[in-house]
Amino acid sequence: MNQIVDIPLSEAPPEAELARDVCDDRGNCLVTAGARLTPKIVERLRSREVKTVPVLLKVELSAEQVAVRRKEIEEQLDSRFRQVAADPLMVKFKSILLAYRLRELE
Amino acid sequence: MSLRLKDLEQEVRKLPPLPATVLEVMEALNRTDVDFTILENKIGQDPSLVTRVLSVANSPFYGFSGEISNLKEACLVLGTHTTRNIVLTAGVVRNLTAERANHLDLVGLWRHATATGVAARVLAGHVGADGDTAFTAGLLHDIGKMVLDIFFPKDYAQVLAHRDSKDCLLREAEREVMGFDHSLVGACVAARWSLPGAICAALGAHHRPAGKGGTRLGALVHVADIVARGLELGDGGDPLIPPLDPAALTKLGLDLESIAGSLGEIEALSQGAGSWLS
Repeated sequence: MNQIVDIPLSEAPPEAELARDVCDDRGNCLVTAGARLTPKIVERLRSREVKTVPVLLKVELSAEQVAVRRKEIEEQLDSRFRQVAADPLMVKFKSILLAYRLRELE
Repeated sequence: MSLRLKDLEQEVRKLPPLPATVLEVMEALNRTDVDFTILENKIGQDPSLVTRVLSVANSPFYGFSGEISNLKEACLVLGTHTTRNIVLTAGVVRNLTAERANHLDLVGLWRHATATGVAARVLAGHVGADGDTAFTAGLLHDIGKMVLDIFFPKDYAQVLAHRDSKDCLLREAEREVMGFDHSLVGACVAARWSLPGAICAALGAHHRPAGKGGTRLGALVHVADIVARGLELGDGGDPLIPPLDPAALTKLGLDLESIAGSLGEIEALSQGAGSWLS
């Protein structure tokens, strides 16, 4: 599966593609998703005290790891939906989100 | 509490105005016969505005990836309506990103805001609404939270403490502690900054889309906000999903199946929507 992982800027491979926009601590976007980490961009991010960058990594998961990840996703959704757990519309919305999230494990 | 409902309008009037260049560009855009050379000159006075118009024009939203390098061409291609939205949004974003947050995770909140804007834009396509206006309303829907946190930090510290102790939604904590919530503040701020009435109304009604003053645009932002939270794109200020008002779906003629089919597009576009904040 492909996964967006925030890795330390110092460990990012040269020319790695950013999977998400990188912003400073006020929300100003510094570099947009899709840009490659050239030395110039790395220097710019370092000067703005950016510590980590989001990159897309291909991760191979074992069956056991898939089961663990699935449980994590279910628990996260249960937690976020805890105040609307009795609302039929929200139960349906939660099941849609679960199906969508589980696609990442395929 | 120092911030009370009766003082809200007066307090909001003390906020810094939108940048002068933005106001001048809006004036040029409001003419019936827009002169694109004058428009180019006005926008050209402000290098960061030039950058933003060009970067948005070349974003995946408009399908001109890297093709537009000239400001006048960007304005012509985008049209006055979209250019107006970009310039107004740039003014609001600049006023708010110039300040430091006191308690909230502003990066997370802006990420949530852009995702809500993207969701509103994508869903607008399903319900025959204007995508640019939907995006702007979605992007700005939580400016009330930002203003409260940036300019009224003592009041907001109490709100956040209440949210944590009661494990409730941020807006519920705001109402409990202050007697009103960020949607009202957002609408007041939007009016102070001369945003179009439809956007002010949507900001004010995004948590009660079927209530008094509720509009289709407000309903769209309401749904988009919850979709962005469901996809965990950014940080809306609390770790909970608020209830989706079925009346909003009815008002829009939208169903959950249509939303389900749009999740991938919303997530993908949201990862690269930061050109609006550059």
